Amino acid sequence: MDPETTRPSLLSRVRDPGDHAAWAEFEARYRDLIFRYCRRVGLAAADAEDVRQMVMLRLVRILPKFRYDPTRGRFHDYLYRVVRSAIADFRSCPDSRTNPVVNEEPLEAPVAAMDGPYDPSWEQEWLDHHLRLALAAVRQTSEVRSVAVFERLLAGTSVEQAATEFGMTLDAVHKVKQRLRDRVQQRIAEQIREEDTIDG
Amino acid sequence: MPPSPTTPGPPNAALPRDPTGSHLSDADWLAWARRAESPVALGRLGSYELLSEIGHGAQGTVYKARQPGTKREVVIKRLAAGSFATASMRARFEREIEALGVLRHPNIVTAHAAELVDGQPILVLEWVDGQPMDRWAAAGPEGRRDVREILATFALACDAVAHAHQHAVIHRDLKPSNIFVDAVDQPHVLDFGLATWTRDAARTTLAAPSEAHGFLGTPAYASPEQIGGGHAELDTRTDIFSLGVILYELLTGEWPFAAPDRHAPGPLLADVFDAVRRVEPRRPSSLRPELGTELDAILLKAIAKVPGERYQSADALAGDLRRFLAGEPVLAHPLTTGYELRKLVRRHRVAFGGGALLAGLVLAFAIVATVFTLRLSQRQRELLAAQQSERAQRVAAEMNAYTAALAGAEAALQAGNVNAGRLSLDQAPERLRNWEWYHYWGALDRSLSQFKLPSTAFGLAISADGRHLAAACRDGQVRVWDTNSWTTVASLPARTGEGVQVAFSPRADLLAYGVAEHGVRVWDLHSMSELASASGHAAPVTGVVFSPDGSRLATASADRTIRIWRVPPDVACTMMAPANDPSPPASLELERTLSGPEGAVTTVAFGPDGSRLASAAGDRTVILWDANTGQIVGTLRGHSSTVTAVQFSPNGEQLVSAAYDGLVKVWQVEDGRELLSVHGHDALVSAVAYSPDGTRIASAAWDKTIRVWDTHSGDPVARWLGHTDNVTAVIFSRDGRQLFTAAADETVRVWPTEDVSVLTARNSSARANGFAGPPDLSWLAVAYGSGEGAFGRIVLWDPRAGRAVATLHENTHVHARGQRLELGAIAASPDGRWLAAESGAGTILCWSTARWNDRVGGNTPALEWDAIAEAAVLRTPDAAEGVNAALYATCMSFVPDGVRLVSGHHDGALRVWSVDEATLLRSVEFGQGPIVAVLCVPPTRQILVATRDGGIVVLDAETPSVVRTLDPPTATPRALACSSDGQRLAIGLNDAGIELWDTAGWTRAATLRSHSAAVRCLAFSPDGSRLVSGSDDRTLKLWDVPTGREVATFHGHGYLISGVTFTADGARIISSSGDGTVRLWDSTEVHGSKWSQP
Repeated sequence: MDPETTRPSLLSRVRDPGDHAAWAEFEARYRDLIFRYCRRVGLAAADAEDVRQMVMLRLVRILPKFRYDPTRGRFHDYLYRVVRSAIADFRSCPDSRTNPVVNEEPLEAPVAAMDGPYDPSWEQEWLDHHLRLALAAVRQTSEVRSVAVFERLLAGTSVEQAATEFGMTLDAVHKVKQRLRDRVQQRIAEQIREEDTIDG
Repeated sequence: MPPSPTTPGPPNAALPRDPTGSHLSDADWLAWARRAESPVALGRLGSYELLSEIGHGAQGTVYKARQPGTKREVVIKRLAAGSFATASMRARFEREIEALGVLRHPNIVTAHAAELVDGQPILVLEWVDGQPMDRWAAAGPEGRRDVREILATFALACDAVAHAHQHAVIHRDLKPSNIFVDAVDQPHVLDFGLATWTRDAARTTLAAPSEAHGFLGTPAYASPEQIGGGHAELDTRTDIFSLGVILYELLTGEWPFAAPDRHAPGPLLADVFDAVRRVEPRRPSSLRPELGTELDAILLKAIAKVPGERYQSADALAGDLRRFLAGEPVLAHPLTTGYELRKLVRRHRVAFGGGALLAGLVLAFAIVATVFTLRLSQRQRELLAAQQSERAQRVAAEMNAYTAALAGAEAALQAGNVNAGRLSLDQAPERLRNWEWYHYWGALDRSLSQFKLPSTAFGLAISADGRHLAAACRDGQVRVWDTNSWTTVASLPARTGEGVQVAFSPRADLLAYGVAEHGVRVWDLHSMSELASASGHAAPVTGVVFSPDGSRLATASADRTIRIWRVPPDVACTMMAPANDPSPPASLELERTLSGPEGAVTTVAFGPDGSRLASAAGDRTVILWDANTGQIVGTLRGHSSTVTAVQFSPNGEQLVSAAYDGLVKVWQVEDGRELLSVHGHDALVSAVAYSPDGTRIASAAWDKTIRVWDTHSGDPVARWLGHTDNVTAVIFSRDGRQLFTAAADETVRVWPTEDVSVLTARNSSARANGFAGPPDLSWLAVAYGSGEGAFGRIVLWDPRAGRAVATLHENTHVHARGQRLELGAIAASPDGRWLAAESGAGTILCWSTARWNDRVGGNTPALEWDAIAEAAVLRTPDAAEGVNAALYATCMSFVPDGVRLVSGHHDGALRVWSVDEATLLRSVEFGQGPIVAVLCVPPTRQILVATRDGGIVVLDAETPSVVRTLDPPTATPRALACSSDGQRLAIGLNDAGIELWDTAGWTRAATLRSHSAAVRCLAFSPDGSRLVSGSDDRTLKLWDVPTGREVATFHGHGYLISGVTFTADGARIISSSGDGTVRLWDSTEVHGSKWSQP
C-alpha cells in the first residue's frame, strides 16, 4: 500500500494551527503562486512580498475554521478570493502593510458573490503553479540521466541535439520526453485532486 | 499554448478542459513549462535592481541585487512589513544592523548600508560568491577536503568570531550555512542576530521550531546552556561550542552527539536537545583514525559541556589549530614526555633519517634528550604563561563584554530603542552589573505602572470623573477599569481589527464604541446595559466622540464621512435609569452626514462648546465644521501624509493634529493659521492629546515613544521610553498629572506628565554652574550664571516635585569694569544644616536651613520669603565696600564638623570660616595663582587644595599647615574628589585626563583617559567602587575604580558639565551643566517611583 494514499491531505492538516510542518509545507507550496500573481497584477516585488505575508496571516486565521463545500467553489477559488481581497486592501491603503485590516468576510461565501470581474490570469498562474510543483516532484523521483535529457529539452534543445549530446538515438530521446511528460501530467492531476481534499 | 479556462467569469467547480496540458503538442507543452518556470522579474527595491530571491523566512526576504552607481552585486535583507514582523523579529533585525555596524573584519560579511525603503528597513550586505562551509568541505576526492586545508580556513573563521566577541557580539547561531567560503577559500561569517535565512526550505517555516519555548538558535549547533534557555547566562563561549561542533562535522562528516536524525522536526527535537546536554561525544579519531589524538583533544575541548572547560576564546581555539598546523604542541593536549618527543621528532624529521650509524644514533638521542629536557621546562613555563594569559584574557573579555553591552544600551537609549537596549543589557555579564547597568535598565522604561492586555488597544478614553479608563482592543473587546483599584469593571464586545475607538460621554456612565456592523453602540456602565446603537456607515467606524453636552454623538468612518447622531434625552440622562431596565436599546437618530474628505476619516473631535467639529482624514487634511449646520468652515493643510489624530485645546482656540509624517502641528482655529510644527518623533504619530490646563500636548508614535511638549513654545518637556512596540493611544488623566498610553506590545502604561529628573531654569539661557543639597535631597540649591536679560541667581528647588521653590539670591553686584562675577561656588554642610555660596561680590552668603523643609514642601509662596535677609554674610575684615573681585570664592567645602567652611579664592588664598558665628578663623596664602579646587577629606581630617599654578597640597584641617605637596599633575588641575574612606584621590585635569592616587602612600596609581575635553568635576560613589566625571565634552563618564576601566558614558547635557555628585545613598547621580539644567540620573530599578505623584 502506498503510504501517500493514507496520509491526511494538506488542507486537512493545516486546520491544526499547531501543525508547523503542515503550515511550512502549505507556505512553501503556495508562496510562489501568490507572489507571481501579485507581480502579474502590477505590484512591486516588495509589495508583493507584503501582500503574500498578509494572505498567509489571513489563512492562518481562516483555514482552521474552513469547511469545504465543493458546490461553492474549489480551494484555489477561495484562495483567489483571499488574495484578491488582500491586494484590494493593500491598494486602497498602502499603509495597510503596517496596519493590516483583517478581512472579516467569511471564507465560505459563494465565490459567485464576489464583487468585480474574475481575473482569468489567476487561473493561468494556478495552472503554472501546478506544473512547477509537478516538474519539481518528477525531477526528484526520476532517474538522473533521464532528468538531464528532459532538462535540455525544456531549455529548448531539439531532440536531435539532445540525442547527439547524450549519445542516444532519436527514439530513445523521444521516449524519455514522453515518459517524463506523462509523469508530470499524472502528477498535476494528483495534485489537483489532493488540493480539494479535506478528510473527515 | 498553455491551457486556458473554459469559461470566462467566476468559475464554479469547473476546471479547465485539461489542466495537465495533455492536449498540447510537445512543442507547446515544453514552451508552457519553460514559461512557467522562468524566474519572475523582481523589479526594483528602492534604487536597487533585484536580481533574484535567495531566501525567505517569517521575518522577511533576502534578495540578490545590484547596487546603483557601483553596479556591484549585493545582498539585501528586507524585514517583513509592519505587524508581520513581531517585536522580536524587528529587534533581531535591528540587532544585526547594530552588530554589523561595529564589526569590520575581512572574514565577516560587510554591511554596506541600512536604509529605509517605503518605510521598511533593509540591510544591504556584501555579496559573497561562495558556498556554505560544509558543502565546501565536502568538495574533494572521496567527498572531503584535505584536513589541513579545512583547519587553515576554519582558523580564519575563528578569527572573525573572535573579532565579534571583542566587540561583545555573540553570534548565537553559528553553523555551516552561516559561514560561506568563497572561491579563494576565504570564509565569511554572516547572519548576526537573526534566525535562519538559508535557502534550505526545510528550515524555513512560518513558526520556526527553533523559536519554540523561547529557544533561539539552531539546535544541532547550540551549546547546552543555550538549549537550557538561560539567555542571561550566555557568553562568548557558547559560540566556541558551536565552532567546535561545526569543525567536528567538517572533519568527520558526523554530528558529535550521535542522536537520531537531527534534521527531523517535531518530537525528535527533544532528542537533539537531550543529546547535546547529556551524550558524551565520540572521539573524532574513532570515526577517522587519521585525525589523531591532537585533533581529538582540540575538538573535545571546544565542545566541552561545561563552558569553563572549553576554550575561553575563539582566539585560543584558532591558536591551537595553528599550532597543530605548525607541528607545535597544542595546549588542549596533555603535556607528556612522549608527546613532546613525538612533536620534536616530527618537526626535525631529517635529522633522524634512517641509515645512521648506531653511535651516531646514540649521540643524537643524547643530544635530543638534553634539548628535550630544556625544551620541556621552557614549554611548561610557556604553557603556564599561556594559561595565565588565557585567564587574564577571559577577565578582560568579560569586562569588554560588559562595557560594550552598556555602550549598546546608551546608544539604544539615545535612539529610543527599548528592545535593542534591553537586548544589550542582557548581554552584560551578571556578576559585573553595577550602578550603571541598573540606571540603563530603569531609563529604558520610565512608566510608573503597566497592565498587560490580551490584545493591542487602539483607543483609550477616560470618564469625566476620572474613575474609569476604557480601552478598545483589537480582539474585539472594550475593556473598562476602575482607576482607583485597577480592577476590570466591564468587557464589552465591539469590533475586531485595528482602529477601534471608544469615547465617554460627559455623563460619566455612558460609553460609545465602534462595532462590527460599521456602527456604534452606547453602553451604560451604571446599569451595564446597551442603551442605544446606530449603523449606516459603509465602512468601519474609526472615530467616535460625544459632544460636550452629551446630546450628540459623532462617528468617523473609513467611508469618508462623518455622521452626527442625536442622543435621546432619556439616554443622555441615563444616570436616572434603573439597573436592569428591560427597555430595548434605542436607535440613534441620524442628524446629518458630513461629506467632504477625500480619504478615509481617521478621527473626529468636538470643540469645547460643541459648535465646532474637526475631522482628520487620509487626504492629509483637517476639516473644521460647523457642528450645527454641517458646513465646512475651514480646511487645514500642512501635513504631508494621513492625519491620524486631532483635538481641540480646552479653550477651543487652538487645535492640535498629528500625522503619518511624524509631525505634531498646532493651529489657530479662528483663521486656520499654523502656529507650531514640532518634529520629534522618528515615525508616524498615532495619537495626540491636550492636557486639561492646555499647557501641554502629549504625542504617541510608532517610534515607541511618548513625548510631551510645551503648547506655546513647542519645546520638549519629556520623552518617555518603555513601550516595546508602536504606541497607539495617549490621553491625560483628568487631573493632568498622569498620562495613559496603549501600544502594540499589548500593554497600557501610566506615566508622569513632567520629567522631574531634569530641572530646567525658567531662563533657559542661564548656565547652571553648581549645586548643593542635604544628604536626603529634600532640597537642592543651584547657582546659575547670568543669562540673557537675567542676573545670576541661586535658586532653591524641590527636586521631588521638579519645581523651583524660591530665589535665594540674585546677583545684582556689578564691579568696577561693569561686569558681574559669575555665581558658581556653592556647598552644603554634610548634615545639610548650612548652605554657603559666593554672592558675586567677593563675599560668601550662608544660610541656616533648619526651617527649609517647611519652605520647600509647604505652601509659603516664594514671593513672601525674603531669603536673602536670612543669610549671614561672610567677608574678610579688610574687604572694601562693593565688589571685591580678588576675594571672589572659586570653590568651597565644609569641614566634616559641619560648622566650618573652607573656601578657595581668586587671590590664591584659602580661608577658613565659622559659619554659625559668621567669622573668619584664618587665612592661608599660597601665592600660586587662583585656587581652583578645595576638598575636605573626612576620615583623614585633611584638606586638599589645588591651585592653578602650583599643583596640589595637603593641609592639616586643624592647623592648617601644609602636610605634603603632591607631584605636579600632568596638566592644570580642575577638580578634586576623594573616596569616603579617604584612600583614593581623583584629580580632574585640563587636558581631559583623570589621575587616580593612592593616599596611603600618596602615589599616582593610574591615569584615566577617555574624555575629550577638560574634566571639570568628579565624585566617588559612597562605596568607592565607582567614580563619575563631568567634562567640557558634555558627557558624564562612569569608571570602575579598582580596574580604572571606563564602564559607561552618559549623554544628555547640551553643554559643559559644571558639577557632579552621588547622593548619599548612592542611588543617584546629580549633574549640573552650562545648558542650564540639573539632571538626576537614577539607578533604582523602577525609575521615577520615588519621585512622581501617585
